[in-house]
Amino acid sequence: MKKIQKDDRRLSGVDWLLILLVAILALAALSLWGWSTRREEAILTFEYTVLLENLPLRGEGERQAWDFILTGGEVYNQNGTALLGRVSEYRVVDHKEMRLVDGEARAEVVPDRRDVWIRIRAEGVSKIGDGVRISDVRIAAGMRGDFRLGNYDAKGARVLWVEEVPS
Amino acid sequence: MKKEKKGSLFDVFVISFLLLSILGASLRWQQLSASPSEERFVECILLTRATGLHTDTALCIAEGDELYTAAGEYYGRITAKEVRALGVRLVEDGALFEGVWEDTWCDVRLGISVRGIQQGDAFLKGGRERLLGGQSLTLYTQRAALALEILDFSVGSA
Repeated sequence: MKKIQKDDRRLSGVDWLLILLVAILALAALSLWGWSTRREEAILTFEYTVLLENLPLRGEGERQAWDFILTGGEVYNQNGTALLGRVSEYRVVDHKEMRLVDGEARAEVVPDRRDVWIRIRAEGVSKIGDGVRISDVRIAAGMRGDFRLGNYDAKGARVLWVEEVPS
Repeated sequence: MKKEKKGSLFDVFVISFLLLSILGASLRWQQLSASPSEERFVECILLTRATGLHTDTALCIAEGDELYTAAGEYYGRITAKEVRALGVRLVEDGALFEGVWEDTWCDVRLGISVRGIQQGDAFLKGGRERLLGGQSLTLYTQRAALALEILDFSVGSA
């Protein structure tokens, strides 16, 4: 009695054929999926510019906001999970606002405010339709983001410009 | 004595798998055949505006760039680009003053070519999504993220 039950559990030739068919189909699907996702991806070196606007000028002897941004310093996302590149240079410039001067609206320098331009060099993945990404963070000109720039907490910084550069 | 052959649990699994695959494929086929035919598709040019862009950002946008949604779906192609100085209005003592930002901030107007079908006065992008004047769109090129407003659209031929 026990022997008959054991025989019933054995796989027949048809079973093995079906196993082979399913395995071939699964392999074909996996390789097609892998090929289609990989073929459009490219790892590239790129630079992007971030603008910090309207930073108040602090008093004599106090550290300015841009003193916390170091050339060569690491740039992270807000929660520190993705390295978004390194600061290659930064520039402090006058902040301008539209003001009324002699009955005319003009862009005027605000004496106690500054803007900071930061250029960042990074490595990421470029994929058609998905733009440039580092980890799962998309970097695109025109977007705003929260960054950690060296030792400075840059919330709502504006990404101005993105370009691929030779590595 | 003739032994009766019984189907194993594995046979049931494989047959179910194949049946489900056939069912899935037939449902997808029905969905595709129900969607509008490509022959009815026409090109539509959207006139859009992105306002308050930095001039550096405007340099990252070019004619011929492909536009994608946030989900990575193809949306259309930029056919024309025009950069204008950003106008600013100030009010002081009830009087309105107008000025422009020079060299820093700008308005960018883009012509975007999309495909869809025309139903009466309405244009349905991809046969599904109705486009309206004044509508906001967030689209991406490879380098830029654009918050656009549809100013006008004109439907052309196939």
